[in-house]
Amino acid sequence: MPDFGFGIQDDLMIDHDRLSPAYEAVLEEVPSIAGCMSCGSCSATCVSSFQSGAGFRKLIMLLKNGSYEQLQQALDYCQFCGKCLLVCPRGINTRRAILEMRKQFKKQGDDMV
Amino acid sequence: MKKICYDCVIVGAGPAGLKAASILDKQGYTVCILEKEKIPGGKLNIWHELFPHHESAQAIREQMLAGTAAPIHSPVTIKSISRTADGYCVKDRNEDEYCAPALLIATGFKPFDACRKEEYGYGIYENVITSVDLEQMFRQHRVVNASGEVPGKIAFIHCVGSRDIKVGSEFCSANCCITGIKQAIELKKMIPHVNICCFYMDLRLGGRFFEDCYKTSQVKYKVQYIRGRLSETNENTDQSVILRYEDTLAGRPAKITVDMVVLLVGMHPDPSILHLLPEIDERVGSDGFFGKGKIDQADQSSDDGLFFAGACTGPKSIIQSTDEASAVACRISLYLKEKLYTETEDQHARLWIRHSG
Repeated sequence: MPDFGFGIQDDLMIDHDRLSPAYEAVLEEVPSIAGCMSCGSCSATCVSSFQSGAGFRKLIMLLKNGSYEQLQQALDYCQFCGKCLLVCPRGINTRRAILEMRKQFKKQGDDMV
Repeated sequence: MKKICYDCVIVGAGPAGLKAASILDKQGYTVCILEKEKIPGGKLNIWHELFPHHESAQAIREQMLAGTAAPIHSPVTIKSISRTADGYCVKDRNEDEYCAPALLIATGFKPFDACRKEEYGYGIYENVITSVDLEQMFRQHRVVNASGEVPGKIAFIHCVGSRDIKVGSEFCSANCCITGIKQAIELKKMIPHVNICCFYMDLRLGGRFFEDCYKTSQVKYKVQYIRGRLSETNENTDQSVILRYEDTLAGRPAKITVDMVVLLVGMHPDPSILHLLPEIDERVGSDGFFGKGKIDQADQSSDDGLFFAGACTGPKSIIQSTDEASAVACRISLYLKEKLYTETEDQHARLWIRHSG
């Protein structure tokens, strides 16, 4: 069947009225993520961000905004090297937070439990 | 109709005026303060708690008033100011005259009139209030929305009337960021389940302990910060307010519905002292505040007995205002000493002998 001329564009608007249960769950486990001020030190140092397009601050943003699909894709690239942990000026336990995010989306392999 | 002569007349009984009065007064000069409002204290009268340590504004006001024995004339509406051979003569509506060789202007600031940002809905939607209105609610220990209910979700809007060419104020008011954070923490203490989002472009937290407040608000009180300037507000039928903005960190348009919007209004120059004396009008800078704001504070070291201190020389916190007032009080003291006293070399000690006033 031929495609019609009009595709349907997904709504790009972020709805901050929508809650993010995954954010609340990760926050519970790693309270320090509340201190993220989106400085971007983590993204600049991340060895995977050139593949995933997302450093830690962006993971937090996607988690807060409920963009779970994009988040899950980005999470796959994390190598748990912990460089973001070293550079974070707010002392956020980034590595643990990413692990919790992966648990949320049942992405952890056997090697990471 | 009476004429009283002092060493220094201070216009404005806010933190700066009171501080300068207390220093000059303790050094033995005769000082009086003229205040346009009924009660002295300036903006301390409209604030509940002060950043960054949540000190009581009322207590600080009492402390400052107790610090000076100078007479405070209030309410006084200044009708004219004239230059005389000996200095300045300030005349009020009752034709009373207050004359002195030195005149200190400490008229402070005026909160931005949020009605001028029409797209934010202040004065149109009942649940859009300003930070000044919120302080009034804090003073009454009751924060409710227009229908008398405790709000569940509140948005704070930074930079209202600041950094905005459309309202003629391109400067940063410097104190609204920390005021918003302070108020968010106060609200969370009062209503623990309330959800608070702050909409900011930058968070300018230059003062000591301000960053601590910011981090505490994030980690302890779970205040959310969304980067983006509010574009417009709309009201729902239930009087809740929809905000439209861009989440600039995500690079996408966004919206949120809240029960109450708090506009963090900026500090604007108070024009009430203008058009009375050309020497005063001449000192107005490009942003509407007095002086040039240069490092050597040339605008405050006066050779004609006219001095400025506090928020009338630019947006300032209370600490900064009183610090400047202290420095200016020292300059006034030196000026008066030169003008009123003769130094003589005594056998035992140097003496200052008063020759006029």
